[in-house]
Amino acid sequence: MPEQLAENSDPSTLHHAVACPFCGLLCDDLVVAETRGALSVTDNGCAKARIAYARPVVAASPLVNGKPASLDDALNAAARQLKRSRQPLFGGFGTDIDGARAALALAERCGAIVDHLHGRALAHNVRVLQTRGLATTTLAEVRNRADLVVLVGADINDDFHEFARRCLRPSSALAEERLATRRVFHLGPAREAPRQPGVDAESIACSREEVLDLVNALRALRLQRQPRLRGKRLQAVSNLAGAIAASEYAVFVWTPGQLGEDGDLVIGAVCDLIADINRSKRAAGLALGGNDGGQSAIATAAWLTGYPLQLSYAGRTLEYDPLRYDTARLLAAGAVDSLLWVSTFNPHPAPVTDLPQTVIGMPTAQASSMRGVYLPAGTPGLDHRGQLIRTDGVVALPLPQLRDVALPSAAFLLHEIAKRMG
Amino acid sequence: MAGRSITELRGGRVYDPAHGIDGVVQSIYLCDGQVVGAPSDPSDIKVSHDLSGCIVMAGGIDIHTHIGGGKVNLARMMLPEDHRQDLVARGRHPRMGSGHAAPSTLTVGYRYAEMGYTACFEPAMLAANARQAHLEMGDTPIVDKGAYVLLGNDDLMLRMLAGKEPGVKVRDYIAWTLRAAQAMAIKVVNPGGINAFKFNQRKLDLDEQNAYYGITPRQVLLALADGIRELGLPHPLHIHGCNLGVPGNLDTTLATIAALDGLPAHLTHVQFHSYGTEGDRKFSSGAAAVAEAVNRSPNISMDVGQILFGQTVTESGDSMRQYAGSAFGSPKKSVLMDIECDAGCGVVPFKYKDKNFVNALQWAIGLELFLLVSDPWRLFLTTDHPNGAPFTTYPHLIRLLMDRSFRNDMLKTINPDAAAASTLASIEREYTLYEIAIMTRAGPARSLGLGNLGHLGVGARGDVAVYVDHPDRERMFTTPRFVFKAGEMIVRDGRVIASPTGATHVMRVDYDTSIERTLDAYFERYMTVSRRNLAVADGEIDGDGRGSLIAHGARRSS
Amino acid sequence: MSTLILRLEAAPDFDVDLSGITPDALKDKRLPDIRRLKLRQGQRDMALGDLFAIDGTVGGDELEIHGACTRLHHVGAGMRAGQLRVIGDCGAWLGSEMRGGTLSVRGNAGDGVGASMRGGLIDISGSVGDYLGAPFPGAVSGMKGGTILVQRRAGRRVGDRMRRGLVVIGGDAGHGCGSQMIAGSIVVLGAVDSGVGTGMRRGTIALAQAPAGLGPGFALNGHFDLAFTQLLLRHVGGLKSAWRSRLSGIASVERWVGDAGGLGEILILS
Repeated sequence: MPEQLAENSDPSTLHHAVACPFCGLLCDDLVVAETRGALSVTDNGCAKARIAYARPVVAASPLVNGKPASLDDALNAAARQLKRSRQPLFGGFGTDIDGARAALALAERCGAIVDHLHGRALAHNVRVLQTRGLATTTLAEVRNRADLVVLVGADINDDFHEFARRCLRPSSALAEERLATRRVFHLGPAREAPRQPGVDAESIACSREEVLDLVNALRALRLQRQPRLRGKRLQAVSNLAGAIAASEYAVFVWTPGQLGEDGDLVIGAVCDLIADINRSKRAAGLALGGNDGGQSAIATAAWLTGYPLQLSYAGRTLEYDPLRYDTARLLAAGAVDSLLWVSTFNPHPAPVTDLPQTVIGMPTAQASSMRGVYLPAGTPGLDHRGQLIRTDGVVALPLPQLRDVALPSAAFLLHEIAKRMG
Repeated sequence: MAGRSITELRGGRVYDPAHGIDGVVQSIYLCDGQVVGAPSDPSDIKVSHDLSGCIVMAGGIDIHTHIGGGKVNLARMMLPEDHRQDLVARGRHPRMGSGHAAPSTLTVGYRYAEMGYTACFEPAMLAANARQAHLEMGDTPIVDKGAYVLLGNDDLMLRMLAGKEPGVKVRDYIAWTLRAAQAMAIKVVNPGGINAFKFNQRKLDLDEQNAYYGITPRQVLLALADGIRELGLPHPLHIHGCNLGVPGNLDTTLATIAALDGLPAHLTHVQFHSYGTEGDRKFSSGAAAVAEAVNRSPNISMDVGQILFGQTVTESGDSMRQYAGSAFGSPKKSVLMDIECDAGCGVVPFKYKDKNFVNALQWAIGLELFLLVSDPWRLFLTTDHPNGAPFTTYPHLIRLLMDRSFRNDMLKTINPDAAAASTLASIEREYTLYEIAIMTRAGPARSLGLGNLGHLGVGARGDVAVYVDHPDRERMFTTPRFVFKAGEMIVRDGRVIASPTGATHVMRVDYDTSIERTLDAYFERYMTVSRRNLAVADGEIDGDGRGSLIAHGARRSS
Repeated sequence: MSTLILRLEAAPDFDVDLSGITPDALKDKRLPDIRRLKLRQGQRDMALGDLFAIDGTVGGDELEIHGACTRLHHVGAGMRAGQLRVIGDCGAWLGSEMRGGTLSVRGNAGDGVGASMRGGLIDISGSVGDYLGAPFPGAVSGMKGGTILVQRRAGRRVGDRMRRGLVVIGGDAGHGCGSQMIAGSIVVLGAVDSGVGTGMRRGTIALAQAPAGLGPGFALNGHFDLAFTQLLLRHVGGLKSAWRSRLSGIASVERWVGDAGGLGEILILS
């Protein structure tokens, strides 16, 4: 539990060193004030975090087919729905580790297929991992050891905003001389170059579609081949190639969720570049992603099953299929007959579908009009304690409870549904 | 004492080396989760199992097995093709899962139990990754678990040594790390070498300086081994030495033993550190020299890290050596990670082939070590799961050790040049059941300071494995007749019938908490998490009825 | 003719995994045993005979599936020998990890056709989805041998990470055709989308229509009349008569080399 300091006559409580669950960075230096259930970030944290913490608590009742119901009735209705379902899909998966454990246990119980809200983005990294492997690094290594950071098509102005302050241009680093001479490049649309003060990124402007081409051009240059580029663009890429050649520890940052449908190609190309650099110098990659508990969801699934989600419990054995077990495809193909949707960090609505559904999470406009069951749940790290894994896949952080608003955790609700499955 | 409910394990042949019991036919009594003495009132015996023809041992303890943490989980995610060959069907275990080289946590727990193992220790937990390691171990059913936390490649330790901080500060840091990571012991991997690799050094010999900090592996080893002795930790520094897998590294291993100069230490997966450079292929067995050094160094214990042929995956904190090894991996994909100014890791799938000279000789070197090290109390049975082979190969390995003719038959099938280069054929030793019980039960328990585990004396926890005596020891150890965990029958005829939650063992030693202020400043200034959030709270392991903690204390100084 | 015929009685409600239902696997089985073969539809285990009407002759090496639909996945997966003819559309992973024999589809197929296949022939009269000839989950390479023919269009990432073998697409091919190819040959007779050959290490991609552009890792190597290309084109032309006429006018070849290492080859036929 974070330290709690009661200010003199102020009824609010200040929580220090709070880990923020609203993006994969899990910045844990937030100071959050709590006043009668209302939260506000008073120090550190990005604009996104400030908005998310400040969301008012909506007193929401469980709903069954749009009508208020008791929690018990709603849980029974959710269990009945799952029992009736011949092929449930668990989507969203926006929950903490305990929620993911509970969801996977329930999925096993009812033979569900499981995917995450950001399943496709997460799958980009996984596909590269499974076909060629990865050389990666973590946030503290970037902060302390990098003398070159290249943002490859990565826009960190909204999501991952604090990466700039905490890692790119921190106030101090173990290898001070590397921080002092650190160069930051951005490869992508100029408007997406980092705007955080002090970052001073050298921009190599190109469209999103051209990012992959420019990475391949970099590789060609390293292999003493002249890429088919001209003028300023050739100059810019050559400049970056020179910076890479001069660097001692180069870090390449990508954001799988921003790379489009074939994002794994960009990651694969960057990994080939990193592998080439590592023959003589040191370089590593870093994926910024894993929002909405995504990194935790695939990690938890991996230890419990061996597979990083997009898997099915329907058969006698587990089946992993990143092509077929994708929420949008399954719904489009009519391959499932019910949907259980969990989204407790953000009010992401469930995909539009006529299937019976159970939604666990933050109140959304859709909840009152849907066919099925709505179960309000708390947000981990605000309404109840929890744990999440950071985007680098190494550091897991504890999430505190900052207020008492009597919203159950997704894990609790999922366990209760499982108990009612009979 | 009326109303006691005692389970009698009647008339089995008992091997309990902690009490010098070597195959004596006697009964064991279990009550309230513990081993108790023979009841004075026979009516207290509520359940009795006739174990005539059976072998009875304490539950097995694996002192070195990679079962939880980031690198294990990366291996799982990376290898769907491996899982697909070994999926656990619904109903086979309490929960579904997948097995082979990087099994799911659920499958790990069930399969260890099904071999009669009741405790497993993860040897390479990173402080930065401790929370996840405990979460994974928490989802590993039945077995007790614990982990060794890595030190010696973290920039903080190297800065402390470079800054000539007093030993007491290093000790406080060690003790704090144990507590924060909820660890059972301290391990060092390629001392200082993982850190050096981040500064682009590709090898770091025992007396070679880290290019940035100017510290040598020898300094790291001695600082840690000395600090651990001063703190009184039962398990000494767990050492994965320099130059893993490098031909000629036997010299490094001998120099490491000499450098320790009597300081207690455990050398792990020594097979990978016992290579010479003789012969046409410049690769030879150093097992005899290493075994001899271990035999005359009572301060040293070791485990083998036996390789067995087939597909597996190597998972190691030794990013420097794993990077070098990735060129030989199969299938060709690997993970390399620099981690959080704390450590690193590398994951490289590997296929050991019996017709390959190097692999075949590695197999022989491991067996030579087993057979040439004389004291089983200082030698533990491991394959460094999954690095040498998955833990499910243990029964096969036991047969290789216990059955010379079987061993020699296998020797005939490997690469003939490797077979010819090994002294294995000439070694007559066959392990006894008593020695196996030492290596897999009593020895690890004593080394780790586990108190009531690893033996069957009164007061021991009721973790008992019962095997049907069969001349084919592989068959015997594959399918126990019964396994009891804390007095409860959990396996019958090699199948899990109950799935209790095992405890997490941790080591607690006092330290001067003023070190926390130093650490707060360091974390604030350089790290990306706060010191307090890095630390794993007890409640994260034992809260919500998810698990339980067993805290052990320092060895009392004599 | 000794052909065993499976007729889908009604479209299944949920996905069905047909792996293992191959001519070589059924060859030595008796009809009642074939009817009892276990299949999974969604969560339910069922018998092959519950889903298909089965008749024809057993003991041969020919199998036909009539009335196939997109709910049938892994059709012909792992097949080693014989002939499997499918009439109707198929779902994902058709012919994945196939080792030998001929698998023909009169209809369309989904994603992952011929993933990590090692040998044999897949011949599809219609169109296919994404990742044709790409890696099966966990595999480090896509197809390692054999031939895949698609008469109409193919989706994204044809031949991703393929290592050996031949793919011919009679129609258009989607984004990233030949992405990350390790070796092997791809021929596209229709138009190709962007990203052709991106990240390819070696291998040959022959295009009957000039692409809108090639990545900067490719350099024009010149115009040739390469003997190898003639061989390849003659071979492809011999596979389908429509293709022969399509290729008959090819006079010269514009050769580009790349991607990063310069060993990948894109041939633009004109």
